[in-house]
Amino acid sequence: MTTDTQDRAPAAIRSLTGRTALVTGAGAGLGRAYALALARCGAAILVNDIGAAGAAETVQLIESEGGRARAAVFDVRDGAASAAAVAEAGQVAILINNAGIDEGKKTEEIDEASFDRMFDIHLLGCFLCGQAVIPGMKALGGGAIVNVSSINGMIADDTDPHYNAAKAGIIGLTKAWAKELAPWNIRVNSLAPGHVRTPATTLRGSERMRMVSETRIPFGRYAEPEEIAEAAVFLASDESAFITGQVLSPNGGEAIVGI
Amino acid sequence: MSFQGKAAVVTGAGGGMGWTIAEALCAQGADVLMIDIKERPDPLPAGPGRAEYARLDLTDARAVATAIGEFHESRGRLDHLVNAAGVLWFDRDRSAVEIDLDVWDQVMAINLKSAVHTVRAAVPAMKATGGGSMVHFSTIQCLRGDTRPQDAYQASKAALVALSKSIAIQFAGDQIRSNVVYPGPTMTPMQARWEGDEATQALVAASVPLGRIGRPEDQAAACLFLLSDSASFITGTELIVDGGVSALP
Repeated sequence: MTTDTQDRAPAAIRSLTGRTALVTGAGAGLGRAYALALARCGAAILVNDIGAAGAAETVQLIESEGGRARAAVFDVRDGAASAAAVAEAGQVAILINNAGIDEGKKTEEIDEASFDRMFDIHLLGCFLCGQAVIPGMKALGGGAIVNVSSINGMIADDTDPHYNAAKAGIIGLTKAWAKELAPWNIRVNSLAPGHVRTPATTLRGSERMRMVSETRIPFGRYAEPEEIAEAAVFLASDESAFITGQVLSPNGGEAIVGI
Repeated sequence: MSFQGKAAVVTGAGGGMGWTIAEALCAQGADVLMIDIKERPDPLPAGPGRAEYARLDLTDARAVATAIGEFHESRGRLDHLVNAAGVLWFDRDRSAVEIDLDVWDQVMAINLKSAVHTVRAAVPAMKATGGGSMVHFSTIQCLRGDTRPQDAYQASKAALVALSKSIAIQFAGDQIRSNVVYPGPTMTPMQARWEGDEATQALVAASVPLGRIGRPEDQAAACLFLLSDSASFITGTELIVDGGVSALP
């Protein structure tokens, strides 16, 4: 099915009007798609990125569609900075922990600094941003946290072992928080995308894309960022009111091949 | 209305989750064929999509094929299939070591083989118009055991997951998606034993991290998400809708 039809989930239950969402790593790619999709449902977006230009561009894109957004430029590894940004924004009802990197390295190429950086951006970054928003969510009487993992957090790939491990760790953090925060009606879930057509994956070349599509993905194609963003909206909205501690993986069937 | 112009088949639509799903699909514009062995509810969902009801036994392959075939022909398309029919016979469905084997066979026929019947009718119809999506209802019960077992129920629902994954792989190239919802404790007629028993309800709610028993609407929202194009890259997966029960150790 294509994404341009009107076959969408109900509008009312998806409405995020009156809620503020912090989306990390939203200056490009999937993070930008999450921010745009949440804004289209009425949320005011706090657009985080480590790069000011990307964040500003996302804010401008949201505003050009009539949405509300503002940039929050900080490094997710900096807990004081994320706390300050959240304090300035007021209560955040939705957190999309998306900021991440990959390196395309094999084990012998990864030094300790590279390993630490991978874990700090993914796991520590998720953790610190969670710490920043949780008190406000408790005060609001609930919230939704979406920790972006990856299909690689479930079925590993042969490159970037530190990335695979960090993404698996994000699933562990998700389940722990789901349990810890359920009494405050804060739902915590993971989104684990498969292969997505983003600036980063496009850079790796169309030949690789074609090969992966044909050999690994039953749908025979990469996802568009907008398709993944739909799943993020689902997990962020009241559509998933009874769902917590789960992993939702839009992967075109890839995860059922070769597990 | 987001399912405007679509045609959907929902089994087990005479009550419980199946009813709520059919109602939600109709409310969003889909025409829905509701199938159940139960008596026809009156009135059927109001629409704007049109609901029709086929009272039949889902273990009857020919009756299922005929009903879905006629519905497909009348609408010229079939976009969605929801297998929500199922039985949980507390009194007769017991441990594998003591269950009456005829009961075992009946539960398998109703909970599992019925899905084979609907899928066989739906796949060619979906292929004819370029694809579609299916959701099958399993249970979190099949992720673990129980000291008070309903082994036929549990095994049939686990098999449904395997069937869904296989369908997902087989027909991905035809743009047919197949996914599973695993409900946790949910207030439906299947759990009529909880009705009026507030002490038990409180006990069950307390076992759920989110602190409440699920509503049919919770399950319907997850189902409609998976059916819709919002889930266009999601196939062969399971979505657990249990208030966090299965995130527990």
